[in-house]
Amino acid sequence: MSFLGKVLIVAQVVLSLLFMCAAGAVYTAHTNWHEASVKKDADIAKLTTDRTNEVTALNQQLDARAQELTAEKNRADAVVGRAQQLEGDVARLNQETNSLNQQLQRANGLAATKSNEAEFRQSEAERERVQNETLRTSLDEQIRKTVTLEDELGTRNQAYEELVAQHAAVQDELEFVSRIARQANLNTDRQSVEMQVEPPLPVEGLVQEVRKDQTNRTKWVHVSVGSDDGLRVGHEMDVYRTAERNDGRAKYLGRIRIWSVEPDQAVGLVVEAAKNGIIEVGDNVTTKL
Amino acid sequence: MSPRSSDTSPPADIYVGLLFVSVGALTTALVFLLIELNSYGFQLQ
Repeated sequence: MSFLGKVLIVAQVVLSLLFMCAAGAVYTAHTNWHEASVKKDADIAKLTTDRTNEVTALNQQLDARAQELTAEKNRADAVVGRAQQLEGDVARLNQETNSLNQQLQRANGLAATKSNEAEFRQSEAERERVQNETLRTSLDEQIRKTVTLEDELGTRNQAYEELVAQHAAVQDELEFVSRIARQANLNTDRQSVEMQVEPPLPVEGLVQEVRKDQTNRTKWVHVSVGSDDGLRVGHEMDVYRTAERNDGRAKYLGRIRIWSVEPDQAVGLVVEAAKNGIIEVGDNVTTKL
Repeated sequence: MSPRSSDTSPPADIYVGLLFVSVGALTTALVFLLIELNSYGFQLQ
């Protein structure tokens, strides 16, 4: 083999090895552009679909916004109409306000008058309140007195009932004693018994007042002595006029029986009248004749 | 080129071995390239 053949064989071997290394490098470190292209196509399709969906959604939102815009325009038109109506109402209310202001001024004048009247009424009410307090105090006092009097009345009623019971018992006893006295033929006349039991003490007095009957004769005599002097109902007294009052001659005028007695005075009934004399105020009475 | 008899073939030497190495390297490289082409959908008609 020639030298050139040997060089060519070595070159062929070297180039074959280089070719194998290049093919192995391509196989081990290559990028599969086909798969990358398919993947990119899928990504592009997906992105396209997404964009389409987004565009569709945006279109729907745009339609919705357009509808809302239309609704807002309609509402704005309605608001404008309402505003015009309200302007009319405001003008009418202004007129009413002016009218009410005039009424208010008149009412203020009337209120001022009423206020003055109210102040007067208040001062009057204060005075009446003071009077009311005074009357209430008096009423409380009267109520307290009434309660006291009612208590006293209750006590008196109770005492009265006790006295009624005692009176009934005494009447029974008196009836019993009277029956015994009648059976024993005893005198039951109070005046005669008192006269018997208690004879009149020597008493002298003056005639203070006289009463006459229809025939102008003295019937009742009011004398200046009474029970404090020992005089009792039923006692008899002689009436006379002293010599000093009858031109130097004493005069017998009659006899009276004591009908009613009080501590310092008594009333007597004329039981015997002298024919030559009339009992007058200032005459003397005595039990000593 | 002169004809040669079958019993006078030269003996194999290092260069023959180098040629086999070269054939093996070319075959391996071809396999790598076919596999690469197959990944792109390449088919032999």
